[in-house]
Amino acid sequence: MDLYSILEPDHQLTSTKSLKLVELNSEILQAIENKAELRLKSASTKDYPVLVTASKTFKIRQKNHSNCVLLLSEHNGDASSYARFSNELVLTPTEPTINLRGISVLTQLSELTKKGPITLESVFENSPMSEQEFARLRPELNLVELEGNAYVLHEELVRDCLSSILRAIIEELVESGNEMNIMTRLQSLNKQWVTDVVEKHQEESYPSEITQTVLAKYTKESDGKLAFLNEKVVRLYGVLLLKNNTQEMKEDDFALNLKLTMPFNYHPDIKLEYLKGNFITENGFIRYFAESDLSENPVERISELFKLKKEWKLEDIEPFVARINTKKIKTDKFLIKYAKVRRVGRQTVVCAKT
Amino acid sequence: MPSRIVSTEKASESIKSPTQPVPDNLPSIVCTKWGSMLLEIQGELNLPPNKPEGLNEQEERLFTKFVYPDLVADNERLVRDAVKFGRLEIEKDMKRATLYISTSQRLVGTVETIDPPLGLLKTDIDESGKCEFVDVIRKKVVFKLRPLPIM
Repeated sequence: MDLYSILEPDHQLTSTKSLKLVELNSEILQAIENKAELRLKSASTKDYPVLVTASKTFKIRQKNHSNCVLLLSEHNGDASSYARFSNELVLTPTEPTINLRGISVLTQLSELTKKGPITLESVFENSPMSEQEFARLRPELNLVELEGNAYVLHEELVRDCLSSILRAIIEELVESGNEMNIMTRLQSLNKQWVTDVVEKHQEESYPSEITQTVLAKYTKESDGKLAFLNEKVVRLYGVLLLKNNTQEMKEDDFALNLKLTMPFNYHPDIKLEYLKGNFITENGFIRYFAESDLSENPVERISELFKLKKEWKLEDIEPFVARINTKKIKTDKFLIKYAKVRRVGRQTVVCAKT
Repeated sequence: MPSRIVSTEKASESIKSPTQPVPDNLPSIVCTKWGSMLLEIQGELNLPPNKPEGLNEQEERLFTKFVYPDLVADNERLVRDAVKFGRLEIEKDMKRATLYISTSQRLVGTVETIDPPLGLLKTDIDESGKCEFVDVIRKKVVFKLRPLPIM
């Protein structure tokens, strides 16, 4: 077969049309095979682009090479090269992120505004993620659309709404004679029943968008039944209690105060580990400290941690270093590089290198 | 940046018909349903930037007009000058290939399976902003060795 080539072949066919070679992983290949919808997205024109399927997000990276790769088109037994590539695009799975730029935080229902509305749809359009990932992450970030405008609900508003939902459900359970096994019943509730009860009992009427978002975040659904995620609920109440208490609190008092802030008749197990990454304990006292306030740089973060406390138990420091332990190696092995790790009896203790 | 839908219809059709040799009466090559094929050469393929003036009849015969395939042209008629740069022969076993460049050089290569396969993504930066996977290529002809002279 004779081979021809256009003069100066390039990946740019015309001033507007261009071709790219993309390494197809099994998910994208499957999507192409099924003629499923794929989307090219980016958080902004300056951010990296991603290719998304219905359920997964892939970051696009350019891999250059020095070989001469020609694309030919076969016609009547001959072939002509009409494009030449000096790179390939590689797709790597990436963590989805919701782009919250320009979205206001809603602390009270009375604060609803109609100024410059950003709809949930436009938030999704501008977020480098797939539809299913967006549906999963939206409630986790307390993101709702009210009267055509997207808001991030303030944690206190979420707590108040959750309290109101729990009170309504518990009240209904007590009325129906389930007073003795409320915590068990909260692990298996009919979804429709919950919606009806919440609508009927709520003393302060929250819009259904908010109650549904809160329910999606704090319950797990399987076979049409909802189960409250007690650990997450305790975490919400606990973190807010710590945040609102500027002074140090005794650990024992904290557990008691936490129980008091929760709805009547709601008695989940309270363990400090549920609040990991949000508190520091020292000499029997507990105070609020957010992991997100620490530096992203490992050396700086470790030094900040030892300024807060000279000696850490391994399990206490773990939530504060998980983010910088990108290779997910065992925490004690990871910390050896930055600190002194020694065993004292059954415990492992971490302190600064001198 | 608004998101763009990437259509996959053409690539999907190409995937479903397995990579096939062209009919027997033609030299066997490995190409997709839409006639796309990849050729990889180590180094450079130097071609003139424009068709030279004052060519003799024999040289003139090396040049032809190339019309972009419908696969990428979208009903637009795009024509460019093309020059013959060689001849490709793929052996019956569909594994080895020889590329003759002009009448003086010969390259020996192989037909390789591309893993993972490569998608051919066409993008338009005009108002339509159309993006499309037009083909999926699973085989390429690779020439890794130095050229051999033909005596």
